[in-house]
Amino acid sequence: MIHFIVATSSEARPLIDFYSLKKKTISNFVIYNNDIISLTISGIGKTNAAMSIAHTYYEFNQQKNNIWINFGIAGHKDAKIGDIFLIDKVIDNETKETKYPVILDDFKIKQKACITYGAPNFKYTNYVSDMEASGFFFACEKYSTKEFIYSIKIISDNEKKKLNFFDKEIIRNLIVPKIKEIDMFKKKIFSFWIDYYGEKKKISEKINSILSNYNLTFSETEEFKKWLIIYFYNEPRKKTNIINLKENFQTNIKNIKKQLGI
Amino acid sequence: MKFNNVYIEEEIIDSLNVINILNKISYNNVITCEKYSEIFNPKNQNFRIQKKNPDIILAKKKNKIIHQTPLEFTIGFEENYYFSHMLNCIYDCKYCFLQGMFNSANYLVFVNYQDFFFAINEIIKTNINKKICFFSGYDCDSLALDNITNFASTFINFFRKYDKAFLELRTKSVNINKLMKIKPSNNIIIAYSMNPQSIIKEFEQKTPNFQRRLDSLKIIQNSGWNIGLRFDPIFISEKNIKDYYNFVEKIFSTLKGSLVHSVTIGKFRMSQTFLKKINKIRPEDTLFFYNSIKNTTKEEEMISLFYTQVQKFIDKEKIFYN
Repeated sequence: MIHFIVATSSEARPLIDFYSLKKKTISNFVIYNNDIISLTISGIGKTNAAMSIAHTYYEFNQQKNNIWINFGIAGHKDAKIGDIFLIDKVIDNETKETKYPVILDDFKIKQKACITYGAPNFKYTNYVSDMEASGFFFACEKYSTKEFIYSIKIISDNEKKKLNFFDKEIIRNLIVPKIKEIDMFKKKIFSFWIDYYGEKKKISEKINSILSNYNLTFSETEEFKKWLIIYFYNEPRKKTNIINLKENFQTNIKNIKKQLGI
Repeated sequence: MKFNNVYIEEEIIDSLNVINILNKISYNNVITCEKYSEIFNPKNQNFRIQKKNPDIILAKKKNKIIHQTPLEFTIGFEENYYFSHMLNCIYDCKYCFLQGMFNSANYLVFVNYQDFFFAINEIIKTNINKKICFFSGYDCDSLALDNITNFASTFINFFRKYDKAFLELRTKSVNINKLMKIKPSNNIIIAYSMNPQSIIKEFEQKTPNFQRRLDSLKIIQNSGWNIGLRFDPIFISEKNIKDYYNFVEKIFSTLKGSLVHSVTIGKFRMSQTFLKKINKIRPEDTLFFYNSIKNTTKEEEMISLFYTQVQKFIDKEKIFYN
């Protein structure tokens, strides 16, 4: 699943419309979703971003290693209004902690480093300036592998010009022309995800479902799991399900070994 | 060679080696960092996913530049050390321990060769009358990225002045053009990891095939370099022992056995810690690893037969079982 984390509803609206997302819940955070995408409106600031990620993670069944994308508007010294950037380095202005997103490929979106500020910052530098990215990466890394955590920013203000952030129409007009680029990025990262996790997730779900029928110790679980992994990744093409939930785990391991000729 | 991102430690961004490397590669972005460990070490990374398209990190090696080899590992020298100018490899061998050792698959290149020279020289000075071997190629392939790093020629030229200190460059690479342009030195051993083609096809993804490695060995030997043969790890069984016999015959009918510096034979081994990590990131190969780490008397018997076969072509004193 792909989780978008967006600070405000005006930044989120073009994505909600493009992906035809439906409002899921109104609790602490507003979340929109369809079968493969969720979008959480986090509120402004790194703490809100971090909290919204934890909330989203629990809202969608605590699935580890999903794709997380922070999207929003940001400032820069001289980048053009409307330029879009993929963030490749994030510095928290308060703690000075630096994170380096793992960027899996050339996604055809220009890359830039970003500084996350605790309050609106209009002293522009060569870094993209925002208010969420450091909190976003800090929280996401608890729930996913670094290869699937990204931040995309569209420039809304620079030394010469500042858009009215409160005008929804202006923000919409800033984002809509870049939606296809964002969607291309999403498709590409999703194909990387499917490539690695597609089959693994299915097998992992099968294994967890089998294990849930047993009341085993930690080491027994580990042993049974190891053999279930071996079985499901090497099961013969003509599938005859040899896992019998009425048998104890040792008998099942024995049957797996027999089936695989070990 | 093309990279999306080049990470460079701020401290060395203007160093000559960094400039030289940047001139030899193409890249989209330079990202500066304080320490390479900020990118290379964090835990929540997936080596397998990164392996599809690694980036390169240029850094300065600071502590523990040279290490002693495990005691059982020798090719006949009194003292044995290893060092790595690079961590990770362009190849993708299924059995590689690096995927269990490192969190990141990015190529980490240490560019401060002068500090390596200093550390090597210190060891040579304290072992003045001993024959020492320094091994390169434990944590990377010694020649595979030589066009970019200029590692081999730089280190060969450094070692040239020593009589008793040897350098082994271990490789699977056929990237030998630069090597062929420099004068051979008696204290350099170009050692190739070799396996029959059936094993290469199954386990050594993205590596040069057997014939290309053998052709390179022949060229290197004919040019006057010492060569070594590393049958390590071998995956020998009753099923493929004939392949291994034919493989040995092919090698020694192509190369001059009497001029081979040394042969090592080693079976697949892997620490439990690395194995656990590898099984997590490549669960589809759990069965392969389970079968490969079993110590069976049959396997010992096969290795012993292979050892006897190798002895037909080369003096026993030159064969080392690690």
